[in-house]
Amino acid sequence: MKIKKSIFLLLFAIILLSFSGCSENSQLHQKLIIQGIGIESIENEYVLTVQALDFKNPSKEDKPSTKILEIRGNSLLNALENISKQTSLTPVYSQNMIIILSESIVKNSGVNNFIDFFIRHFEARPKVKICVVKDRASEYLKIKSEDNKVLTAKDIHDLIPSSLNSDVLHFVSNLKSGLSNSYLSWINIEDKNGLKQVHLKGVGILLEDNLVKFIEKDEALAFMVLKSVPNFGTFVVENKNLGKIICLLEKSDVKTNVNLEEGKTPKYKINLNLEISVFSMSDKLEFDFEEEIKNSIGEEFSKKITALCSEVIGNFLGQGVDVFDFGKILKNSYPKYFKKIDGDWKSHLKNCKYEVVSKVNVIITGKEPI
Amino acid sequence: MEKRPCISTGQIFSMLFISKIVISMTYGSLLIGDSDIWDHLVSVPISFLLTFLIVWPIYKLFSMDKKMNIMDNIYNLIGKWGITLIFIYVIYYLVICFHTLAVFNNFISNAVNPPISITFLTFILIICSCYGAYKGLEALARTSSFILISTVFSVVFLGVSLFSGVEVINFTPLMYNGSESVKEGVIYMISQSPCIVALAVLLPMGKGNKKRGIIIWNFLVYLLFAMIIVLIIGSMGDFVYTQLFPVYTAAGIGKFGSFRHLDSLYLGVWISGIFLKLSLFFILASEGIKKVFGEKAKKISIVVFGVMMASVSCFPSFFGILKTSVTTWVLFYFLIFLSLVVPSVLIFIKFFKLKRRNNIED
Repeated sequence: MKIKKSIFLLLFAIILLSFSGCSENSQLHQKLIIQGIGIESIENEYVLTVQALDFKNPSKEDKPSTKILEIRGNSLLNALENISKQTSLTPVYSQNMIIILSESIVKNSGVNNFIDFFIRHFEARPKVKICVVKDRASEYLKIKSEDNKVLTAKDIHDLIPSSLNSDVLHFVSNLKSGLSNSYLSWINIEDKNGLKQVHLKGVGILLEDNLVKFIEKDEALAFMVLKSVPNFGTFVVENKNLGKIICLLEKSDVKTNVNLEEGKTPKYKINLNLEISVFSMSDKLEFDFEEEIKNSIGEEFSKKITALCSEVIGNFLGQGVDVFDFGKILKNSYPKYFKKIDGDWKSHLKNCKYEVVSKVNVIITGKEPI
Repeated sequence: MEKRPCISTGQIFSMLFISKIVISMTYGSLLIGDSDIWDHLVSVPISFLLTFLIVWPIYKLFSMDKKMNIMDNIYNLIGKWGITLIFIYVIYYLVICFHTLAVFNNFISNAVNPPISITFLTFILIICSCYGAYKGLEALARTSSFILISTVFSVVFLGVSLFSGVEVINFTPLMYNGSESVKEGVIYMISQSPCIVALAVLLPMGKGNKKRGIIIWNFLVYLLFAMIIVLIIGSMGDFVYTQLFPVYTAAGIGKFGSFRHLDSLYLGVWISGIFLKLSLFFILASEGIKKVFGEKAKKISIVVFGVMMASVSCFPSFFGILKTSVTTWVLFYFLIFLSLVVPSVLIFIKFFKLKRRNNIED
C-alpha cells in the first residue's frame, strides 16, 4: 500500500511540474505583445515596423506604454526573427490587430511572398485587419496624435469597418478561391492645420497577389455601398425644393441575384436596400416636414447611388476584376454553366450584364415624429 | 463466473461519442489531404447509413448471447486458434491509441506550440490515461459524464459563436468537381470510427436498450460532423484549405457577446476527450489480454501498453505517418475486417453450431 501511495505521489509531482507556472518562467515584461505590424520593402530588404506594448517601461497612466521597433531582414521571417535578437524579448503575435502593407511591397513582390506567416503561424489570428498605404508603412505606426501620444494600432484597427472584410481571413480566402479578386482597405495620412490624421481613404484592388489600383472618392463610396459598409463619407444630393442636402448612409443591405439570358449571358441584378440620414438642409425645412419631401430626397439619392454603383461595377467588369463575388454567385446559381467557363472566368466577366436597383429609406435624424 | 464491469448504455455511448468527437475536432487537411471538405457534407449521410451496416454483425453476434463479448465468442467458437484473432483486436486497439497520440502530437506541435517539450506532455497524457484505464471502466464511465457535459456545452457555445459569421456565399455547389471527395470523405469518416470495433467488447457490459443507444449515438455523431462542416466552411470559406486544423482556427475567430478567442475552450475539452479515448482503448486492449492470460495480466498489460506508447513517443518522426493517405486506408480495412468480416464469420459458425446441436437433440 505504501509503495502504491508513493507511486501516486511521484506521478502527482510529475504532473505538477508540467504546469506552465513551474516550468515556464517567462514574465510579461519579457514578452513583446505586438499590436500592429507595418511591412515595407526598402532596397530589396523587408523593413518591419512593430508597435508593441511595453511592460518594461510602464507609463504613469493605467494602460501600458507603447514601444515602436524597426527591424530589417532578407525575408519577412528573417526580419521577425530579428525582433527577439534586437530586443531580447519574446514576440507574441496573438494580440496583433493590424497589418499595414506599403504600396511598394504589394505592387512589386506580391503578397504571396510573405502572407504565409500570417496564415500558418500558431499565434496568428485570421481576423487581423489588413490594409495598404501609399507611403511608408512605418509612418502610420509612429504617427503622434494631438496630445503627443503615439496613435495606437487599436485606433487604426477601429478605422477599418469590420463589414468591409479587409482581414486576413477574407483576403486569403479570395486569393485562394481564384474567382474573386482580393482587396485591401487603403488608409492615408492627411495634414490638417499641422496635425496629422489617419483616415480610411478607399480601397486597393489586387490582381492575383499584386496591387493594381487604388479607388477613392465617389468610386470608393459606391464600393462601400456595394460591400454593405455604412458611414463612409457623405453624399450630396441636389433637391429641386431644398437645394443641396447632405446624406449619410446608415445601413446598406445588398442582395445580388444572377439570371442566364437566352444567349447564355449572365445578368446580375443588384438590389440595394439603403437607409440614409439627412443632416443639413436649407432653411425652408421646418420641424414638421411633408412625407413628399422625404420621398423626393430618397428618389434623388436613389438615382445618384444607382448611377454611381452602375458606373463602378461597369468599370470593374470592363477590367476583368471581380471584387463583388460575381463569379461565386454565378457558380452557386448555375454550376453546370459555370463549369464550362470556370478556367476563363475573368475574360467572361467583361460580357456580363448588370442592373442596379435601389430602395432608399430616409431618416431625418432628430426630427422623426414619434 | 467471471466478474464483469457493469455500466449503463448511456455511459457507453457517452464515452464513444467523446472518442469520436476528439477526432472530428481535428478534422482538416492533415487527415484528409486535398479532399474537398464541403463535399464531405454528402459523405455524412452515406457514412451514417454505412455505420449501421458495419455495426450490424457486431450487434447480431451480441444479441445471440448477450453475456459474451467478441473475444469470448472467438475463444468459444474457434478455441485456442482464436487467440491470434484476439491479438489482432488488441493490436487494433493499440493502433488506435497510437493514432490518437499521433493526432495529439501533430495538433499540439502545429497549433499550440507550447513552451514545454511535446514528448514530456505526451508522457503526462499517457500516465494519466494509464491511471484512468487502471481504475477501470466504471470509473472512466463516471468521468465521461462530466467530460460529456462540458463537451456538449462547449460545442454548443462554439457553434453559436460561429453562427453569426457564416456567409452563405461560401456554400458552393456540392460535388462540383466530381464525387472523388465524397468517396474520400466516406473512407475517412468510417476509418475514424474505431468506436464500432469498441462496441464488440463494450456491448455486453452495458445495461439498457443498446439498439436505441446505437441509433442515437450514430445520429448525434454525424449531426455534429455536418454541423462542423457547415460552420467551418460557412465562416471561413476557402481559408479552410490553408489550415491544418480548421475547427481549431474557427474556434479562434468565433465570438459570442464579450467572449472571443474561444480556442482555449476548445483545447480544454479536446485534451480531456483525448485522455478519455486513450484510457478507453487501453481498457479494451487489456480485455483481450485478460481473455488470454487472465485477470492479473490485465492490470500489468495496461502499464506495458503505456510504456509501449511512451517509447514510441520518444521518436516523434513516427507521428508523421498521419500525413500519408495510406494511414486512412489501413485503418479502414482494419476496421472492416474486425467489425464486418470477423463477426460475420463468428455468426456463421455459431449459427451452424446451434443448428447441429438442435439436430442432435432432435
